Amino acid sequence: MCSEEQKNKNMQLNRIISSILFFAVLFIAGCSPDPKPNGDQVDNYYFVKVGNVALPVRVCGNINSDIAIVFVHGGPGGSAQAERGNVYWKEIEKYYKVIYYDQRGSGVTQGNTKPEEMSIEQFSEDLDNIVDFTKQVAKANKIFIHGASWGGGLATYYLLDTAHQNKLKGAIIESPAYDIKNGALLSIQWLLQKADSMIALGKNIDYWNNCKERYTANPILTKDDFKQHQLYLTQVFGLVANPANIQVQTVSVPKIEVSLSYSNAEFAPATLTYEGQSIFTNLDLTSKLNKIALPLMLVWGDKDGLLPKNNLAQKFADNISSTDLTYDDTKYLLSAHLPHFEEWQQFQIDTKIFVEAHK
Amino acid sequence: MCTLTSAVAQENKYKDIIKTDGLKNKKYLATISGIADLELFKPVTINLGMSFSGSIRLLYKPKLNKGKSVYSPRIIEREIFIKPTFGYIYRKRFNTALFFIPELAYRHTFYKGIFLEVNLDAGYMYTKMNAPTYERQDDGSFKKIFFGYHNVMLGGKLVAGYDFSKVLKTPLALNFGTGVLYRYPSNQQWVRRIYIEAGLSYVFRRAKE
Repeated sequence: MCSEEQKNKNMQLNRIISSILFFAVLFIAGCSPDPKPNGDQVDNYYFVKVGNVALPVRVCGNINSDIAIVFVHGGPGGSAQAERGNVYWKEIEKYYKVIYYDQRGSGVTQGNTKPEEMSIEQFSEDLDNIVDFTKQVAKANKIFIHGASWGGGLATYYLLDTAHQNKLKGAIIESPAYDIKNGALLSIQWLLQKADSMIALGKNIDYWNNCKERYTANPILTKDDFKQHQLYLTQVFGLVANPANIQVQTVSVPKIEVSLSYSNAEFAPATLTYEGQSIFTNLDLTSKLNKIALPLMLVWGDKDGLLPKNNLAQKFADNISSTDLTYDDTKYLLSAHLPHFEEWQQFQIDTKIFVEAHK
Repeated sequence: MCTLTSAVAQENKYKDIIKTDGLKNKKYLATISGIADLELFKPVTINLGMSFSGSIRLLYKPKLNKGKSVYSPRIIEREIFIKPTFGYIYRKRFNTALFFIPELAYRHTFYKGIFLEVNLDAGYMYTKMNAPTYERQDDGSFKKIFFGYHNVMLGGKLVAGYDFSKVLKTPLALNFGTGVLYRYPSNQQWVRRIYIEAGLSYVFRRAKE
């Protein structure tokens, strides 16, 4: 009887010890630090508070470089946190610092952004904070910005202010959404031509006829149609035309609330404004482009269906007042909307030449 | 007929004389739990945390079921607890959520000690930024600050476990559960989290006179 009691006590003790060990492992695992990057590379993570919003900022790349490229992501509502997975940045980070930040109400940005704060004017102010932060905290004196798609439109707006231009050495502007008002109409025309091609080839005839009817009934692209429009474009390679060349590497990302990034992806396009009205029906910066005078590299994919190169690219090049414009419309013939993904080898070469020439 | 009546009377008599052990008692619990906050979309991520709670019994309604003999009744415990709970969930390079919830729980403990519990949660969550946070000052310089957000949280969880104190008289209980919580506001919207937890409780059980 006595040994039975002893046995029971031992069992209880074992259970308690096992439980304590279990919780200790959980606790230690929960507090493990981020691995340090190798050699001369930096990988630091910050938040920059602007108003009530904490913008996530990741500083990566060559720790010894005095040059930084601030990447302005697309969307609107996208994120720069997984952008680093694009192999294009691996080469760029060997030479320069790269600043990946998420915009207000977008990606994994935290905070309770009010709809009235979701304006390109406020986004530009946020970007200015990031540029200053890059100079002071990330310790890079020579700053370039690289804006892609919606990020290109935001970067363009940012450059309209001479004081902003003076903080930069140059800008890389890729398929910029600087004129969504007319760009959306061009995109619909581009899509309708593709729909006709699909019908002529006998592919999903009912589906593409429905698509055409939709745009006949609603010829203006609004924030409500944007998601469906992108879906159509994807099917006719209007967003990505050269997928075979895309290379993505695994990178660590913040342990985010995934539902937050999904809700932000809806929130930003639905609320973003320019001069108080939706960017989809009102954003056209063409008449102000002449304020841009800094060195600029313009890149546009030849097969872009979201912001078709015809008209938009040449109009941008013709209207800026910069005497130092790098633009070659015979390049990026295989790319659609994001050449730095689709023809990253060429883009790397062009970026390095541009940065080295203007640093 | 007469014999049967006397036998029933005899049984009732003994039931009155022998008090059922564990029927009337006071019970409190102190619980430590490990939390794994899950993101089920690819890539699946697990964010760990811990919580500490005390359980104070508000209502207790035991139920006596017949066992194999009238001398060994099976006691099913039906209890409502209020559970003040403190905890945290750590998300690398995102935030640490510190929360306080006065949980309301209904626990149904079967006669062998296995229990099921339903919890309703409404509380407060503070999400502290998990990286150095800077703010531009009026003079243009950047200053490091302490920053986080205040949130309301709502949620619920289902828990199952084993209470060793019921049969074995060991003052411990193990529990495993899963739950969902929502925090507000994030751009005027609720943000959802799903989590699982495993806990160990110390059970303070004292017979009432």
